[in-house]
Amino acid sequence: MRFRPCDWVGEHLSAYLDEALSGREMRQVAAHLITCHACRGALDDLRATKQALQGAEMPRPAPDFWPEVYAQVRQKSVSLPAPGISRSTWRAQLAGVWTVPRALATAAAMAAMLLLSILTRPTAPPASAPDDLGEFIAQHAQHSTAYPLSDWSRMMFIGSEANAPATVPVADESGNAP
Amino acid sequence: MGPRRSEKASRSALERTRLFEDLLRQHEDQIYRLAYRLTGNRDDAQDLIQDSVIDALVSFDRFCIGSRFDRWMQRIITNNFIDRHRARSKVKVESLDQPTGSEGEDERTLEVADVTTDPPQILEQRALDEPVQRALDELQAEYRAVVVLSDIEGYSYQEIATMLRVPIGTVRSRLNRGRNILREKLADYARQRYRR
Repeated sequence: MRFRPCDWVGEHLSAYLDEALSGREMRQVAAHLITCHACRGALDDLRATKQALQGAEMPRPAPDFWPEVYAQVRQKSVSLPAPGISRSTWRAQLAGVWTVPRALATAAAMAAMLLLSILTRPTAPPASAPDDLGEFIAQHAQHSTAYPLSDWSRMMFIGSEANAPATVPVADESGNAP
Repeated sequence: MGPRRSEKASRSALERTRLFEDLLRQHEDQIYRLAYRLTGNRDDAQDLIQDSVIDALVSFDRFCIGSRFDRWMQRIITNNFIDRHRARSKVKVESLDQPTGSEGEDERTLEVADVTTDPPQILEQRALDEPVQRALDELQAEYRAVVVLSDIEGYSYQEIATMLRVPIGTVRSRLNRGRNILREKLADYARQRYRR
């Protein structure tokens, strides 16, 4: 099929009027309009049509229309549930609070705190058991009570506490240790 | 705790209604103009607005306060208008298939009622508007919506695409098609008044 420039321009005239084409397309249409009388006439008509739409008068409703609408609004709002914070409002509020720099700053602060807690964590109990077994148990118990998160066995104990508190003798012994 | 809470809730419900009404009041003119240009007559415009206002009120909690209420409201109106037209044209097809059906008959009387309401509306309109509105009324709902939003309400292509949930290329081609149909219908009228 033969390419007909007037067809192509005809499809782009409306967007040309709105300057909503790419720079290249704007120039192509303009170039065609220099030579084509018919397309120029069509453009002028389109422009006049657009102006006629814009120039149309502001229509007015019946005088009692808006008061009726507000009466309906009030009537309807009685039956609506009380406003809560809906999901999207939450999202909007979060979006307001959680800007990217703020989120980054928070992440950095959390990383710093984690690093600090690793660096300053208490040293482990002595690796070699003291001569007195009773003293060892007492030290261990003190340490694991003070820093429950540093003691894996204590953690296990905490985890199992809910299921079977009485079956763990270590805790009882450490509690009774001198 | 209970009564205080419900008091608080009813107060915030009142505040919501107050805010909604104030926002609506500020944009009455644009809202009415859009509905009127889309429907082409006062009765349908008022119906469309009443339904859309209630829709808007029901979902007002989802409206992001601080964003543009007029645009939000106009989006609801436009989509309601297009939905109504789709539903109407569907019923029309069905009524052709079943000419004796009671639903089809209802629809036909509705169509007739639309025509009979025309003369007083023509009277109420100014002479300037008449040909423009009549030409608009003859456009398909989808074309009409795009032309009205762009040329009367001043929306950008991108805004219309977002509002109607269609690609920007569709907006461009509907606008081109709609305007060209109007151009043919309004040629003499527009030339006389606007062409230099």
